[in-house]
Amino acid sequence: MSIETQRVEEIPIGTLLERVQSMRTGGWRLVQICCTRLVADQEVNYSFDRDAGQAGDAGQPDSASPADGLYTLRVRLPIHDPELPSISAFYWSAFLYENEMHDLFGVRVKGMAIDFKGHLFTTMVPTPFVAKDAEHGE
Amino acid sequence: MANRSVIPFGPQHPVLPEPIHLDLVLEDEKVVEAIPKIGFVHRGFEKLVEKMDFNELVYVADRICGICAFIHSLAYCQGIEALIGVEVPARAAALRTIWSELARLSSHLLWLGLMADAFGFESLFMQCFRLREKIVDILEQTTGGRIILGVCRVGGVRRDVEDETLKEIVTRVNDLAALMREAGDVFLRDDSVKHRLVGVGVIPKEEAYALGCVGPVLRASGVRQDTRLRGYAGYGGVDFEPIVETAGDCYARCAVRIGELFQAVDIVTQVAAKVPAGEVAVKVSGYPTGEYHSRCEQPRGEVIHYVKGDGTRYLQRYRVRTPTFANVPALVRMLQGCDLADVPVLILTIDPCISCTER
Amino acid sequence: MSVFGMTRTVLRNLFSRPATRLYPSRLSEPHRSERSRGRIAIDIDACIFCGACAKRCPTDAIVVTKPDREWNIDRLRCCTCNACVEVCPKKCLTMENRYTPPTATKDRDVFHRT
Repeated sequence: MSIETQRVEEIPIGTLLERVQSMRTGGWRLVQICCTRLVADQEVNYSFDRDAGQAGDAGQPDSASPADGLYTLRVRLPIHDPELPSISAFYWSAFLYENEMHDLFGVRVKGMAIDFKGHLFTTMVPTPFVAKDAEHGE
Repeated sequence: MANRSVIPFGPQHPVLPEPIHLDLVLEDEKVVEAIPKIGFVHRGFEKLVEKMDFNELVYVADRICGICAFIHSLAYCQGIEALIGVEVPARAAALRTIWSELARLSSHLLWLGLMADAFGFESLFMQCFRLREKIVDILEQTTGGRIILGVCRVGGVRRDVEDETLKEIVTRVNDLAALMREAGDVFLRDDSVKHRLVGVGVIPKEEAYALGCVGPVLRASGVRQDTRLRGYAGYGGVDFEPIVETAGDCYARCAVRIGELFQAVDIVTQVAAKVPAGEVAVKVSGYPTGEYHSRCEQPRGEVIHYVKGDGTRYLQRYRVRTPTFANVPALVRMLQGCDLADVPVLILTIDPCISCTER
Repeated sequence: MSVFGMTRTVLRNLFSRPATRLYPSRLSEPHRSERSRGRIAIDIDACIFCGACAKRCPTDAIVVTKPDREWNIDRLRCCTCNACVEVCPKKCLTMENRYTPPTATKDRDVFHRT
C-alpha cells in the first residue's frame, strides 16, 4: 500500500487570499476545506491537489503518473467568534464547504458566493459540532 | 418580456433517487438559475468520533452510503493504517481491490438503470438491475452482505475467499460482460437515447477542473484524473488506463461509466489471476497519532477520509469529503441554460449520492 | 436509424424464466449463501457471561447480566456486523444466514442459563 506524501503548511490568516490566488494560477484544484475544533483553538485546512497535465502557468510537461501529493494550507482560528474571508473569488465551488463550516462549526465566512444564511444543514441544535454532548464513553 | 417563475424541484420527486432540493428560476421553460439545497439526510456522522473509538468507526464508515459502502470503509481503514503504521498483507490488498471493483460494477449498473428510468426507458432500467443482481449475489456469497459488505477492518479484511471461488467469480463476471455490452450498446447507439443525452449539459475542460469536479464527470470533460493511479490497495500492480472522453456532455459521462464497467471486469480478472497466498489480516496495536488524508476512487469520483488522531483511542477529527460534494457546484453550473425537461437527466448525470454528501 | 436495439433483449427476457422470485411462497428455500449475515444465534449453555460481546457491540444491541445469567439482544438494533461472533472467547455465538422476520413490537430476545 503506498502512502502518498502530503504536505501541510501553516500560514497566517492575512496571507490566505494571496496564497490561494497563487494556487489557482498554479493550476491546483481545491480538494476540500475542513475545520477541526481542538481544545484551545480551531484549525481550518484548505487542501489542494495538482493532477498530471494541469500544471497551468508553470509549463511542466505532461507526466504519466500523478506527481504531486496533497498540499494543505492551514489557518488557525480562535475558539470564540472565528472569522474567515471567503475564497469563492478564486474557487467558486468553495461555497459549499464554507456554508457547511458555518452551519456546523459557527465559523463566519465573509463574502461567500452563495450564502445559505445558516440553512444548508438545518439542525435541531444550531452549530452542533461546537458543544461536546457525549463524553468518551460506552 | 419573458415569464419568470420559480419552480421547486425535489426533495421528493419521482425521478430523483436521493433528496436534493433545487429552486429553478425559469424563463419560459429554460432554466436561468438553479439554487441547490441539501441537508435532508444529514445524520451527523462526524460527531460520532466522540462516542466511538477508532475500531468501531469502521462500522460507521461502512454505513455512510448505501451504494458505495465498501470503498468508504476501505478509505477509512487505509487512513488509520497510515497513522498507526501498519502494512496490510498482500492477499488482503488484492481482495480489497477485487471487492472495490465489484462494488464499482454494482454502482455503475445501478446508475445506468436509474439513468434509463430518468428518461423513461423502463425496460432498460429493469435489464440493468437484472444484471446488477448477479454482481450483488457474488458480493453476498463472498462477504455476507449485499451492499453493506462489512468486510474491511483496520489491518486487513475479515473474510477470506478461496482460490476456486475466485476463479468462479472471474468466469461469472466475464459471462456477464457480454450482457453488459448489450445493455451498454442501447445507451450508446440507440437514437432515442442519444437524442436525450448528446449535447446536454456540456462542461468544457478548464471549467470542469476549476469547479473541482471529480470522477467520471471530470474524465468525461477530457481530464485524465483517477485516484487509482496512485496505487493504493492492490492497484499498484494493475495495468489499466483511465477512460477519458472529450465531449463533456451527458453522453460522454454515460460512455465513461459504461467503459468503466468493462475496465472493472478486466481489473478483477487481472487481480484474481495473481492473488498471493497468505493471511488476510495483521494484528493492530497502538493508537492513531497524526493526520492523514486517505484517498480512494469511488464509482463517483475521489473520496477523501481525513483522520486526525492524538494517540488515544478516540480520533480528534474524522471528515469525509465525498465526490458528490465536489460535483454539486458543477451541477449548479450545468443547470444554467438547460430546458426544464433536461433537469432530471442532468441531476442524474453527476451520479448524486446525497446521503454520502451530507453524512 | 437505430431505435429497436433493445428488442432482442426484451424478447429474450419475455421468453425465459423471470429474474425475480415469488417471495412469500418461496420463503423456505435457502436463497442466501452460507456466509450471508442474517441474525445472531447463541449457544447459551456455553456462555460464561463475560460481557465481551456487549462491550464490542457498536449499536449496544446486546446486554449481558452476569448475576442473573442472562444474555439478551435487541434484534432490531443489531446491524449484523459480526463483531460479537469474532470476539467471543467461548465461541458460543454464531451468525445464521436466515434473517430476523419482521415484527410489530420492539422486544428483546432473552436467553437464560439455568
